[in-house]
Amino acid sequence: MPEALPFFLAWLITWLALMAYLWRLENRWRTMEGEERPDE
Amino acid sequence: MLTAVAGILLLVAFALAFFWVPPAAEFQRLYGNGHIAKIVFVHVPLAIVSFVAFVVAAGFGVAYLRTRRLRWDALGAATIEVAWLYAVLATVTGAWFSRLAWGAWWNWDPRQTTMFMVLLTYTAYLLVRGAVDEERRASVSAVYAILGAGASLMLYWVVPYLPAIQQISLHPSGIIARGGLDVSYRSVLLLSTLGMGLLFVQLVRLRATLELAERRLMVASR
Repeated sequence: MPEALPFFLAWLITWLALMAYLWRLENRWRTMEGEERPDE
Repeated sequence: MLTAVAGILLLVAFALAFFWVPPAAEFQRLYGNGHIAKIVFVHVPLAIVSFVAFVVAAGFGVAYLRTRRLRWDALGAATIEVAWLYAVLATVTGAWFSRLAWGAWWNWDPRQTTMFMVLLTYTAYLLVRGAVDEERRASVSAVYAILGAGASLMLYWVVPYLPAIQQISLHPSGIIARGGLDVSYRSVLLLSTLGMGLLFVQLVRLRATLELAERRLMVASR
């Protein structure tokens, strides 16, 4: 369905960007937890 | 849990948009492809949620100035950061629509210009927040958020609707406003806005918790 491709791409870009941001936040959270418990 | 609900809502909205919603007749007539109207299911929720969030961030700013509790500062900063990302994505999807409908990614349509100004306003917020020393950071951010909400209100809802501006704007909001999109569009738009809104709340909660935890860690390490 090539006519619907523009919508699909808009959705995909948005979804990827939001998931990348969420992943970055979770990564920072995990890093910080590691800093809080350096001996574990 | 909230992330899962938001994800399901967005996936259902996407499936309905892709398989159920018909191409819009008026967009087919004007732009030669009725399917590009479906970009509203991404673009409009991003723009609406970002605007509401910029106003809510001003509320957090007021709450901080009244109570001096850092929780409000963290919530305000998190709200603006995530809203900024939503505004960037609204701009990108808008530029994509512009490319498909008018043949150019950017043509300084009044809507594009006002959104660009919103982005500049809040990019400056993020830069100022990062540059100000720690003692004044929360107060400066709160005052900026309150002033920024005033600017957002003008740029989202006042300037684009001035008669002189509407005459020269190519933005298809007029088609939506006069009911040019059928009930299937309105239903999926509502679903998508709910999903984007819930995802927004979850991202802000996570970001604010992170901000507070990082601050605690910094204080503890001194």
